[in-house]
Amino acid sequence: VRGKPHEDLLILQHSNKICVITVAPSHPMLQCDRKITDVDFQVTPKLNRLKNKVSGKRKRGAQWVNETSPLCHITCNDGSKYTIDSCVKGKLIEINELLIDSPNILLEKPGTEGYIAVILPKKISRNENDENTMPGVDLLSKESYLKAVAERESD
Amino acid sequence: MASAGKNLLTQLRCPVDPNCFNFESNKLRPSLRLFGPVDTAGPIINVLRQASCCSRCILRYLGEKNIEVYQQPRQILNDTLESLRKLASRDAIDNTNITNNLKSNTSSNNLMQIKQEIKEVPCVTCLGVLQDYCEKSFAEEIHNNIIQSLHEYKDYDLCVSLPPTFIVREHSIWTYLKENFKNPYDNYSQDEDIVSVKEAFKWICGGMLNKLYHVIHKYQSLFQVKIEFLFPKSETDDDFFDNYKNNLSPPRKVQKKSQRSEKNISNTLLSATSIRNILQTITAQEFRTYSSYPPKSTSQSVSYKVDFNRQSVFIAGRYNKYDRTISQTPWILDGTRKGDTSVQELICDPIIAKMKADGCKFSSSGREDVDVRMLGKGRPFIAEIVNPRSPFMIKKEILQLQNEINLATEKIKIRDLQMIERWDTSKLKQGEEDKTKTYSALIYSSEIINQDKILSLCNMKKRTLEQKTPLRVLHRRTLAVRPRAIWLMKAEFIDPHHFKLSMKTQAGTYVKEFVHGDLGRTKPNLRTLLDADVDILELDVESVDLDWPPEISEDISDSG
Repeated sequence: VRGKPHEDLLILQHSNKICVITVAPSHPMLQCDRKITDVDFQVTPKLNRLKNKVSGKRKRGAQWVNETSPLCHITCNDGSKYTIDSCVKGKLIEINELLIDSPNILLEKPGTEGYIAVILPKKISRNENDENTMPGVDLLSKESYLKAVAERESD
Repeated sequence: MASAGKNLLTQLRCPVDPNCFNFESNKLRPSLRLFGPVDTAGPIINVLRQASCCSRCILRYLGEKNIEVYQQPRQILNDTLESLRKLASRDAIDNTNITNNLKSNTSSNNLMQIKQEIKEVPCVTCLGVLQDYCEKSFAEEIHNNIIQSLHEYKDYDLCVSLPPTFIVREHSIWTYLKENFKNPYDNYSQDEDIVSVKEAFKWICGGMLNKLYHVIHKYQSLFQVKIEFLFPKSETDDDFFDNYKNNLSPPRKVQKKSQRSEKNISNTLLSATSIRNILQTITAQEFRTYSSYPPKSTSQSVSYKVDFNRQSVFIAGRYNKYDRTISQTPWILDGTRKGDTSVQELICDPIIAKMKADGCKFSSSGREDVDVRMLGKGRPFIAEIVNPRSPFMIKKEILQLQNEINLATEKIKIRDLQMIERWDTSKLKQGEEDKTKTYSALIYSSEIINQDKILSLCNMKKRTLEQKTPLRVLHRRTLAVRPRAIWLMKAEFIDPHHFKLSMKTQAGTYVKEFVHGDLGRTKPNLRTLLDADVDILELDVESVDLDWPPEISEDISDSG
C-alpha cells in the first residue's frame, strides 16, 4: 500500500457491505517480536479520527475516507512507524478505541479484537458488477494474496 | 292538530312507489317548515324555477330541513311547489317548458293525475345530484356495484365528494337570492341555515339503500361507499375561472415556477379551498364581473365514480418456525428474491384468499433470523388484513383456517388464531424492552471444554452486557451501545467440544453476538468469559414471554 513494501492490510467484508480494516498477517509489524508504544489517531494537524461522531441510521456526521486516507499512525518500541490507510472509500463508522488503552491487542489478535476501524463503503449503483464494490482499488482476493505472499518469500 | 300532522307523515312514508296510493300533493304542504309562512314562498319559487333549479334545491333554499320531505318522489315535490306558487300569485307565468318527460315510475301516468309536467333539465345548483341520482335506479346501481366487487356489508357509510364548481354555483345562487329577496336571506347564512346538497343526497340515497336492501347507513361504519361526482371542465363555471385568472397579476405566479406557470394557475384556482378563499374576499359586484348569477344553465348533469373500501380487520396468533431456511418477511436483495417463501407469506396468503382481501401487513413481537428456529408456544403476531371483502368469520371458520395453514407446510405452525379489535394491536409491542425471551444455543469450542468454568458461569446471577450495534445490522441501524441483561444460564454438555447453553435474556439481546463477541464489541462475551475460542453453531428461541394473545381452546363446541 502506498508504495511501502509489504505493509498489507486485510479487509473483512460482510454481506451487508460493511468493511472492517485489520492488519494482514504479512505486515511487518507482526513479524518481529515488538511492542506497540503508541497509536495516534491525530492523522493530520486538523483531523483526529477519535472525534468521529456518527448519528442515525444514515451515519450522518461521519468522516469521509477514501482509499488513501490515513486512519492512524502506529509507533513501535523500536522506533519504527507505520501508517494504516483505509483502503476503502466511504464513511468512517467506528475506530477501535480498545487500541488506545491496550494497543498490543493489535499484535495478539489482529483479525478480531485488534481491528482498526469499521467503514461503510460508498453505495455503488446496481448496474455495476456485484463483486466490484470498490471500483478503482486493487483489492486482492484471498487466493491472489496468498500467491503474492508466497512469491515474495521466494524473492 | 299534531296527530293529524303525524297521520299525514305516515301516509307519505312510501317514497319508493307512489303508485301504491293516489294522493294529492296538497297533503305535503302542511308538514313543510320553511323560512317564512308557506304562502310567501311563491315568488321565491318563481325566481328559482326561472333559473332552472330542481324541486329539492328549491326546498333547500326555502329553508326545509325535514329528511322525509326530501325523500318524497320528485313528482310529489314538483306538484307541491307548483301549488305553492299558484297560491301566491294567481297569474303566475308559465315559466318552464312543458313536455311529457318524467324519469322512473312513468308507467303510472294515468294514476298520477298530473296537471303540469315539468321537463327536468339539470338543476343549475346541484347539477343533477338531487335529481337523477336520487332515483331508485341509482341506488340499485350502487348496490349492484358493491355486489360485483364481492364486498359483503350490513352497514355502510357514504362519503360523497362534489366537484369544485358547486362552490361557485352555490355562491352564485345565494348572491342572487339575497339581491332579489333581502328578506329573509339577509338574516341567514348559507353554511348554517340551508341543507347542503351533500346532506340531502345522503338522506335520500341512504334512505333508499336502507329500505331496499335492509342495510343501515351508519356514520363511521367500517365499510365505506365513496361516491365522487365529476363535472367536465369544459362545462364548469368557466366564466369565473377564466375571468378571474386573467385578472390575477401574472408576475406573482409566473416568477415562482417557470414553465409550469400556466398549469399551476389553473390548478391552484380549481382547488376547493382556494375557491372558497376567493369567494370570501370578493364582493357581489366583483363576482358579477367574473361570473354570472344566477349560475349558468347547462345541459349536462354530473357523472360519477364509485369506490368501496372496508377498514382493515385484525387477526392475531402465535407461530412456530421449524425451518432454518426461510425469513420472516419476503427477502429481496438487489432485485432478486432469496428463499422461496417466508413466514409472512405462509401465514397471510391463505387468510388473504379466504377473506378476499387486497393484502396484509404482518408484524410480530420481535423477529428471529433465517437460521434460527422458533420453538415452544410460539411468537405472537398480528396480521392487518387490508380491504377484506368477506371479513366475517365465526370461531369454527377461524379454526378451519388455522388447520389449513398448518397442514399446508411443515416449516411453520400457528396456534391461537383469533380476530381482534384495532385497539388490541398495541398489546403486541408492549414491553418490548422489558419482556424476556429464552434461547438455547449449540456452542462449539476449539479447545477442550472446561466444565467447571462453564458451570460456575451459570451459577452467577443476573449479568449485564454492553452491546454495540452488531456489524451484521450496522448498515441499517444506529450505532449505539445498549445495556442488556441475562437473567439465567444453564449448560448441557454434549462432547468435549460441544455444549448446549440455555439462557433467559432481556428482549433485544443479540445472543449470537454474546457468544462470539462481535470482534470485542459486545462485552462481556463468552469468549472473554471462558477465555476460549467459542462460536455458535445453532440457535433456537425457546420462548417469547408475552402473555398475549389469549389461548384459544380448539373445542369447536364453544359458541361463536
